[in-house]
Amino acid sequence: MTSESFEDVLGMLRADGIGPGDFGSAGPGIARLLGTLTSGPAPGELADEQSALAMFRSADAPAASTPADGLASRRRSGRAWHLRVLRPVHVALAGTAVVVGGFAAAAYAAALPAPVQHIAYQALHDLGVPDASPRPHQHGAGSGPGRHGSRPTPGPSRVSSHPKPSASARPSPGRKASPSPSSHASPQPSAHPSASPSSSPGPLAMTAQAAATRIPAGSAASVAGVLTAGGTAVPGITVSLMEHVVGQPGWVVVGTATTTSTGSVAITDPSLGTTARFRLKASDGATSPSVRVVVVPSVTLSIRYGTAGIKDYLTATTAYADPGDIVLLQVQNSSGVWVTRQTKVLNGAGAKTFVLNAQLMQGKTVRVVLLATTLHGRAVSAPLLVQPPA
Amino acid sequence: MLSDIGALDDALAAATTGNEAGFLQLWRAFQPPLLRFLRVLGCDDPEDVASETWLQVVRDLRRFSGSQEDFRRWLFTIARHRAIDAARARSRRPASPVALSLDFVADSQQVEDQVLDGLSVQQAVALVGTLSKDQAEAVALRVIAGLDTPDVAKILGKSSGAVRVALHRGLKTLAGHPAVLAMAGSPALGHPAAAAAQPTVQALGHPAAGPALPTLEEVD
Repeated sequence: MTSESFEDVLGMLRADGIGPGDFGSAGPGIARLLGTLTSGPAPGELADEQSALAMFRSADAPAASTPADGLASRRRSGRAWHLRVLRPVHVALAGTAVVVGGFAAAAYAAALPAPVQHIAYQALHDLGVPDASPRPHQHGAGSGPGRHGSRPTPGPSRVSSHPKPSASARPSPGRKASPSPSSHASPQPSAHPSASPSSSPGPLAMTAQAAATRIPAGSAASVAGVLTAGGTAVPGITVSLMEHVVGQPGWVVVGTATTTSTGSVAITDPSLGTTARFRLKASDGATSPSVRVVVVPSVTLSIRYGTAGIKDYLTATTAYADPGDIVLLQVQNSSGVWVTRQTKVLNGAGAKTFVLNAQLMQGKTVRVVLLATTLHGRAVSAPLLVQPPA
Repeated sequence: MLSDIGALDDALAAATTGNEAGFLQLWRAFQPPLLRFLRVLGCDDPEDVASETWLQVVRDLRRFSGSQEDFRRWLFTIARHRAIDAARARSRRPASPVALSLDFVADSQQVEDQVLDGLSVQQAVALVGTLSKDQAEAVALRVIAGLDTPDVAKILGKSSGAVRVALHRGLKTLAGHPAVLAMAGSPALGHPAAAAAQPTVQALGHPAAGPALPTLEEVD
């Protein structure tokens, strides 16, 4: 410390009635102490600069104006720098024709199976398509003319209302958690089974199957399903992809599409940042069982050599992980087994720095493991061979 | 360290408009004292708390108006709150992650290298951490953060007089510390030979120093 900086500090303290004479013979020691306390950055104190910059960039990004904006907040409520601008949901639907000609003609003639006829009536009654004829319900209660009459079972469990994406990360006290999926939906091994013309009319069923149940965080999640009525494919019905993000209440519609002539539909959420459950819900009310998609954050490991050759720094940087998540620094031993050496928690920028001596660690391979949480799966960085400092 | 007031005012003005260079200048100027302040408060992981602090800052920076002095007061107020939050969380979750004290462990083992590496700052911070809570906070906010006494009083919820008393007593206590007395008669701090003769962080009894842990290499 220079005498000038000590004078600066003491000058500042003079307003508090403190001067060099207050410390007697310890004055020079206090001077050095105060000078050190107010000295420039020490090595390591600016180690998180890139993380801070990334935080600034993300927080400074303009907010999305799409309805999905609120959904992004729901997903990453604790990480403003990970708010993503969600593009409109991409609908990966092979054919989008609402009603094929033959179907329309059959509906006009009231020649369709009752459940399908009723759906046709709902969609086309303005054009004169009649509803299904009332008839005794094969399962008894719950049916009758004009009220989803041909559906053999009470309607599937419904979301009480279509929840709108909310910008607030706080759970709405009035909203209940999603009810369980429809009990009459039966999963099928294939997402695209062919329709069976000979099938007899029966209950509406919606299936759902994720294209992948573990995906890189931030990538697209696709869910495909088939709408059938008594085993017969039901085309031309609007189906919504509903998403329930872990830790958030309720289900949110993230995309819609219309079933093809085979009753199939596939909808994609283009950017999933948090583990979530999905289900497909037909406009008629048939709801699929839910399918879970786990996101895997990215973890990158970099080394920075200290100036004195004593302390070097391994920094793990994550995307789509959260502050407080646990990361393990592992070293591969001579048998090839990964052994955990240090355990730390991610800082507010989703990064963490480990201190090591690269000179002593040279030739060893290290990696970082991000432990799984309810919000994401386990992730592992690429191995890094520690080189000696230049 | 925080002396270039005009430049910081300019940097602050730029940062509030989204300018990265301005923000980086602010961060570089305030991150070191912020970490030192948090270490004085005894944070287990000051980098984490500092990150939480900056997170709140960047969220609200566009709405900030005022001078760098106002920013400094705002920053350290947030930091103190986040440190309190962290302490509460720690008390609710007693199991703390390991290896948070490795920096300090390294300090105690290779004093010469610490000084070569500029780690005497940690010794100084550890010394302030030996004071009572009131005195440590007053010294940290007044000296390390560079806040004036009324601002410190506002942050601590005390009168300016109480802050002055705590500051005065804290500095007097430090002046009587063997390490400070040793520095008073030794060559300038920062010289390896001088530092080698000084007590280490652990020897000073800093609460964050903790028991000796093996280094990464030693446990392998």
